[in-house]
Amino acid sequence: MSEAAGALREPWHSLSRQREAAAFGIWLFLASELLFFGGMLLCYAVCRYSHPQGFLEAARQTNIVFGTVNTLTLLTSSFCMAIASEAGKSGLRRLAIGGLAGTLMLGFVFLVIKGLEYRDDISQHLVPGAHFALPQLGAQLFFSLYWMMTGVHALHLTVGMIIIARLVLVGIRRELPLTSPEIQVTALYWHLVDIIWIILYPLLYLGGRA
Amino acid sequence: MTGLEATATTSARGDRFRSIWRRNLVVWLALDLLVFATLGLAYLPLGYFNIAIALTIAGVKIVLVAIWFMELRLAKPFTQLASTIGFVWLLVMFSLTFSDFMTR
Repeated sequence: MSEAAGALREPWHSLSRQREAAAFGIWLFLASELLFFGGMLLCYAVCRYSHPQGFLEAARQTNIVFGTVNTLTLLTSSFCMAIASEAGKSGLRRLAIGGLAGTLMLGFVFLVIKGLEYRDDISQHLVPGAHFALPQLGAQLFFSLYWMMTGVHALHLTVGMIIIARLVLVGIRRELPLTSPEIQVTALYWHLVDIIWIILYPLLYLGGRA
Repeated sequence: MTGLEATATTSARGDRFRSIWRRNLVVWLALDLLVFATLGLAYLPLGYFNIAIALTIAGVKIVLVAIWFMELRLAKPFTQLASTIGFVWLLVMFSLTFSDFMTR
């Protein structure tokens, strides 16, 4: 059985049509994901509009080093994923699996750094509640959104990592037809998780630094 | 397959290998530069322009990721259209909410 025949699924007659349909479908799903995060982004915008000073004070307390390193980590993971996706389509097996494995590893690095950051945040009493560190009005709102948005983002990243881990596994066992749209669709999901972080980075880390 | 054809196939694979690396490496470098640019600019006291500049740079990064990494440049028109739907509704949601908030 050829690679292409292994990747083709019902009801499509050709792999190119199947790939187009997969890309179209995942983009619609990504639009729903964007609106899911959009609710939180809107909440952030409204709260920041109401409490500009409190938000800037609070944003100054987030850890810019962890935030920036994680931004670079995630962008690099997207770079690995883009290589894996293109390599898969071109039939370059080792490059495709290497790209997927690199993405997985960098996703893991991101989560470890995020964990260290959360530990710092907790020790500095930046969890909203009775012992919250900042007195300014709106600062608790900022950190409620910080925990919610980064938490949901990390959850999305974890789901992506599970899917990629499966692709690496079946890729190594040669059970995955490289031309299958699976890699490409997973890549699109991963890049969206990256895009969400690109939006979160200036909102959560860059405010109040000047 | 003759020896000549095999050599040709190997070199075609090598070309693809190199072009995949080169193209994505350029995009990755551009994204990294934008991260350092937005980080540096955040420390300049520019008032309201700080957030405006930061979000503009984020917008450029998103466009780079969408066009190159997500390969929207190669996608069919209906997929390109589908990719904008989320942003369009986001814009509607923000416009309606702030047309209320900012006119109270």
